[in-house]
Amino acid sequence: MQFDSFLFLIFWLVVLALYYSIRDWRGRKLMLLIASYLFYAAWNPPFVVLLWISTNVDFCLGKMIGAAKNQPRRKALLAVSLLVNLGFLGFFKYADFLNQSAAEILAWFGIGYQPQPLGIVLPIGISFYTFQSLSYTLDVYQRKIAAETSLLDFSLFVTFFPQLVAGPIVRAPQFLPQCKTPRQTDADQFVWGLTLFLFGVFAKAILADVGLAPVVDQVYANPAAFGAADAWLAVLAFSGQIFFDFAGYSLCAIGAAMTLGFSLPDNFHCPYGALGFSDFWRRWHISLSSWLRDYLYFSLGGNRVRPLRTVVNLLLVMILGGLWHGAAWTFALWGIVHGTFLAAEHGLKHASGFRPESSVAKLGLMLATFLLVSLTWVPFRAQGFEDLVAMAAALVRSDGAAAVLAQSSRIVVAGIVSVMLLWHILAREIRLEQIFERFTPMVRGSLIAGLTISVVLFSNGDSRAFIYFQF
Amino acid sequence: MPSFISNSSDRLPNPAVKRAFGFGLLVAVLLLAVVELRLRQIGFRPTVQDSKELWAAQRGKAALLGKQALILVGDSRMQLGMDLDVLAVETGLTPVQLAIDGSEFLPVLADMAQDPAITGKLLVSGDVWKLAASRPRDRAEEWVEFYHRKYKDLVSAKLETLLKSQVQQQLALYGGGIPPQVLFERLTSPGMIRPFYLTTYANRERDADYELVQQPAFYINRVLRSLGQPVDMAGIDTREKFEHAVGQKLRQSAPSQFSADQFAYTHGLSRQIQNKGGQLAFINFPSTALVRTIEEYRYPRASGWDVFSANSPALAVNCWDYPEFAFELPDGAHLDRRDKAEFTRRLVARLKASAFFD
Repeated sequence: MQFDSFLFLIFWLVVLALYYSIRDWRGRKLMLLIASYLFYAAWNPPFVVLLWISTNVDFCLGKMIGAAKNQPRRKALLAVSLLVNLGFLGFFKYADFLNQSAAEILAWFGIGYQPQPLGIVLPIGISFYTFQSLSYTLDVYQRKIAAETSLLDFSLFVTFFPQLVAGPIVRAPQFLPQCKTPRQTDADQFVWGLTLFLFGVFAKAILADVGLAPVVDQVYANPAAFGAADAWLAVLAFSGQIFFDFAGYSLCAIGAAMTLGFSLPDNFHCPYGALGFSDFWRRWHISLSSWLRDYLYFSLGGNRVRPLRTVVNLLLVMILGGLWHGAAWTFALWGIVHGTFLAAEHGLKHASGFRPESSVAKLGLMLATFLLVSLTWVPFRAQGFEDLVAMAAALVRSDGAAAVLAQSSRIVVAGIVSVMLLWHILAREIRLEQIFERFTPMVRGSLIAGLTISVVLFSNGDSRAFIYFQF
Repeated sequence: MPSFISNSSDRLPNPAVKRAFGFGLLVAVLLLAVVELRLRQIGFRPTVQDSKELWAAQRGKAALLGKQALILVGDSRMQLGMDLDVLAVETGLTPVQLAIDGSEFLPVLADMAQDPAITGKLLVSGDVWKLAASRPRDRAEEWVEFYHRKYKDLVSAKLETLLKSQVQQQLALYGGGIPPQVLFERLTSPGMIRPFYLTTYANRERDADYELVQQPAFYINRVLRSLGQPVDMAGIDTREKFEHAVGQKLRQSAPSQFSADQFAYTHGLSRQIQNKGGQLAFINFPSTALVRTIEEYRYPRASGWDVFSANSPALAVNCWDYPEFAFELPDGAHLDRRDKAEFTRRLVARLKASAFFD
């Protein structure tokens, strides 16, 4: 069920009506849990069982870890949690990939092995809810939180529908305390939730899908036919598309949760206004990058180890981060490139103490970061290494092109990307609420009217799934 | 306690947005109502937007209906030429429209052949050049793939398609996904802009109202598309001059010669369907004027349709052979919505005469 669909609109209205008609807090939570399972079942009902198993296993293991007195037993229980969660993820997401990769490696040694694709259907959102559920057992193991005693609260934490299939990846200490007391939603909070949802749908359905995606699809479908200028435009367009797509989803999730009185953490904060790659990862998919930092990077020793080990840690975390997005070597390459940039930046800062001070230096660094990040999206978007090479060749080609983008498409892409970049640079220290506060009531009303009209009138083509649903 | 778990009050703008939101929403609803009324005033009718989701919904229906299904496979001639209500009444079967406008439809036929659930009757467009093997890949292949990979097993996709088509059927402002600048022109140019001539329904039946197109420009464009070669229109101001120019261009290309081998793939698909208990008939739809001239020259009957039909294990009906199919086609290739019910009735009678529905 996509946020920008009629089906979700009806589902959400029914949930809101039921939620606010139930007085009892436990009853409300139970209704939300059932609604969340229905929300998930709307894709592929059998996979609800997987979600249920994952939830119950981690709930039981969390309690057992919390109650265990000796360290080896705690460690063993954590290992079971890791095995179950990563086992599901590994089987559904990586089995075909590993099988195929093994065949390719064996082929290098002249050993013929042609595996049949297993044809496994990827359960939607599995990467998100696996990490969310896993963070709980890790937190209990590290004694950051006490084991949850309410199965209802824990189940709602894992399955809460606004964030179930594409995040933000919420941590137990962020969500479980909210289940303990009835959520009080006033009209201001409710309406701001609706407004955020509208912003999110506009970003996804209009800016990403109508404005940018057609150019990206056209050029990436046949990069060899296009000249360098159009190829660069497609690279920048994809930077915009993936941001508006995923940040749009996150805004919808935060807005929908807010109408129910729940608060979800921010997932994006003007990432293209970042000063370098480490700053970028503090602003892009914040809930994933902080998860990788807290549970993986720090566990490996983070940057408190020898410099060479830090570099290895960064690379390892980013490769795994890349593979989290998809079972393909192009995602691993994307992770390697990001890891390399992070390591280089880390080294540069420590060796020279480089910190941009002047506005011009900061602006230059922001633009350079944006450009490099945009280039790293090429392997992320390409469907395999052949596509990647073709796109890279198109970016540097100097001869004539067989195909050109329509002038109107170029103007639309240039307009959207420029405004996005300007907004990220100017608003990198400001929150969305603060920007909205600066508008007069007339501007606010006109903005809401304009966005609503655009969404109703112009988002009516083929539905396009959120990019991050596939992860 | 971190601020983000204190009911999100820290995330709210100050002052609150209640009034602005209410005002914005009211303005949006009013403006959308004005747009809807204005579009209806200049003749727009609600129409469903044909899409891969809508096609996939019908594809699923074809599998569910089994023997009761009368499946239509082909391109725009099949989609604009068949009246589904008439088909249902005249045959007692449930028609399923799987034709795709402008497509290479063989991948759809192949999909029908491979699916064990497809056991009903099929009517297939008989554009002979599209029945030969090794045709270019186009959206028919993409839509078939979409159905199997992203639609068939997903409950939400089915419900959303149903809801979307129901909403689109009620509102003229959805007019088939009109680009913003076109919509603006249509709203602000009284008498200058006509409503779109195509209306699509939720079951993918489609009407073409040729009274809404500008003739002869529409006909000329259709002829040029069939010709596939540019014609210098400077100085062409009469029908005769246009026919002469098209004839000259046409003769610069050689007619296609098909061998029986080139249709072996299609005949194989026919046999696969027949082996499952299904039945199919290929229908070569009528064409007139220059479109027919082009088709007759490019794909001569003796080395095209006749080669196909002589080896076809399925029934093959060529509308050119029967005077009852001599309808006036406004663009030379497609039936007007006013004629399609009668055309469908006559086609069913012809198929019944060939014992297709026995």
